[in-house]
Amino acid sequence: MGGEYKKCVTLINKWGLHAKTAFAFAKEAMKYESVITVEKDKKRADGKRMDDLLMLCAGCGDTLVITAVGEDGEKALSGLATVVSSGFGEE
Amino acid sequence: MGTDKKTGKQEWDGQTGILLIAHGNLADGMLVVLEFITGPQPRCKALALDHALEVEKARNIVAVAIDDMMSDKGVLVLTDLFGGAPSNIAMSILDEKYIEIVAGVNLPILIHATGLDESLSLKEKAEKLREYGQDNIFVASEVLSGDKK
Repeated sequence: MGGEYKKCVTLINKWGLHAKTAFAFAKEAMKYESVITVEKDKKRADGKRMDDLLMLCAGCGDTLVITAVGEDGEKALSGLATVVSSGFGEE
Repeated sequence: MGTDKKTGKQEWDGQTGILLIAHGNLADGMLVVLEFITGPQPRCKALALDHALEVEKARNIVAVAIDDMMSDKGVLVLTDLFGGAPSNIAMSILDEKYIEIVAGVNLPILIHATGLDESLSLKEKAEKLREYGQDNIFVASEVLSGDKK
């Protein structure tokens, strides 16, 4: 079991976490062995499940707390933070 | 479609083929939305049934579409409404080909279908999709008030 890594990221794309971006996040999270969780306003989602991520109802400007627990946790957090911070390639 | 002419194998062998059949333009529309969300899905095909067709002709078209999508893992046929023409025609082929049918498709089911555990049997995959589709229907006010999930 690796360490626990945590990072806050803000959604900057216009539609926030919607179907396409939630899918992209889960797809990126699936690349890693670590357990990934995402929190917004005390609601917590499994970062590898698109349907769970959509339940966060996270829009533009909302802050997500991403936690990665596992051997590749640091790498996972870096990859996921980059995806979110880049606005998922959207406006 | 994606069949290798030399080997006769599908490019998606190892993954279940997915055939979406629905009334009007619904299947085409759902596939467009699916690919907007997930990216290209070569193992998914949409089929619109023309109600002007004779039943036997429509059945042949569905049978050919199933063969197009067939892989070593079979084909999941997703239809829009149990008892509707697309579903009834697919069901008439159920005993002839390695398929399973899930009627009442919605977008959560379709997205989930592309990520199913391929070690499951075709029947188990269909059951998972039914469960997933049912679990992903929400009354928004209940979710927002914290009464559900």
